[in-house]
Amino acid sequence: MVNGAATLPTVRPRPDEDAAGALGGLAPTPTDLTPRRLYDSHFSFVWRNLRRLGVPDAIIEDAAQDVFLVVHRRWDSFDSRWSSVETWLFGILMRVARNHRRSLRRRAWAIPSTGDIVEVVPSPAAGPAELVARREAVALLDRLLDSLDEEKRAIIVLVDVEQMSVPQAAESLEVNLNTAYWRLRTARTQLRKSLARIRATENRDREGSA
Amino acid sequence: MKMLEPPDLDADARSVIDAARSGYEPNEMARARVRRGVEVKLAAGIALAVGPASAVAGVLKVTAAVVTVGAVVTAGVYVAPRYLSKHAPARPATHVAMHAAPVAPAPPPEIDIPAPAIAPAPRAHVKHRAPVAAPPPPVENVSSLKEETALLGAANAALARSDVKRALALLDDYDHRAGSSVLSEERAVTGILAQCAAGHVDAARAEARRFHARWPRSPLGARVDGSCAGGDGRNAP
Repeated sequence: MVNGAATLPTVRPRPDEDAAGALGGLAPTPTDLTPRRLYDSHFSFVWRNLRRLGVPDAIIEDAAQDVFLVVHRRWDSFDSRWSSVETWLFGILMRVARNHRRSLRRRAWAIPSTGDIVEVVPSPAAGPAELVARREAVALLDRLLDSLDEEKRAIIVLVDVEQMSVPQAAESLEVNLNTAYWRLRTARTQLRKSLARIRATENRDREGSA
Repeated sequence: MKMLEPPDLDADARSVIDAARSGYEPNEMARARVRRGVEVKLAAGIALAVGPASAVAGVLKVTAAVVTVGAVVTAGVYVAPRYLSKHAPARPATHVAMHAAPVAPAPPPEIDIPAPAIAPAPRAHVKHRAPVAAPPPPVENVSSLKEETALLGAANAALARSDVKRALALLDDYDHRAGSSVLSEERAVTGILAQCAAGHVDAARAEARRFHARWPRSPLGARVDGSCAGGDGRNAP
């Protein structure tokens, strides 16, 4: 039935160029990269960052589809101006995440809530205790990221979670370097305060139950 | 100009991030489903456009591009806002198409859309097909996902044009041609939307109940619930 299924197209290779740019840090983009290969190599990147940007589980597959459709549509716009495919891709997925969050707000009644359940994909090497700890950490990080506005959330995800450099984050967010540093500074400050509040609440609860 | 290095995160925040970093990975089923959805949409000629600078325009473009092309079937979700709410009045397709003006048209689909043998008889009133009359034997099995996609895409495009009779005829044709449908889930949703568009709420609700019974965890469930079949169809006995 699916023998004739369409496949992700193989777009002509980009011209041979130094896609790594001067920013460094990320692996150079192979010159024979195609949307199909990008899907294989960066699906996890797209998925995890959609989640970190606040796209809920109920619609994350739709959002991921949209990201790769936009990638296909805009493939020709990816060129040597970008230091890496990740910085380009993050710009796309950030806009898709924004669209889906807004759409979700408009039709929140139609999307079942997953509550506070965090699904963590088990890895073969992880034991039960490690999985529980990771699930708790993900839930806590989600709360911390939820406390930030969209711009601060994005730069924390890029720099502190994805471990990009600030210049790369600035490129991805299409802001100048000063703005990126300012956002990171205020975002980290706010994140620390949020964590301190959460810890204080946890301590109070522990003392109350003791 | 020397940049002020931002203060680093404290150890607690850093440890939370480090512990959570690997906790957002997709599973293989999700990867496969998304891939299938992308391939289906690409086969139908849909490629979304998001402007690089305007987020608001991006919302309109993404929505309008999909709607304009005809809200073609996807593996993950249907985007056909005309039927999203049972409270929303039917609007002409041009209402949405207006917003699509700045969007570059999607490339034409590189697929052969089969010429379905459509019975000319109009279906003014569509009740759910009674099981007494066995469907005619398949004339020809839909031979590929592309063809299924094309048929469902044409049905959705007909819905977008408010051509309900055509949509229902195409769905009938799909049923006759598809021996074992890869896109049966998507076809069911299109059928429910078509019943809604035809004003057959009871039939839509009955189909919605069957849909939820067959695919209780379907990602398309929200689309069904957002149609005229709504939650009533799901919760009715």
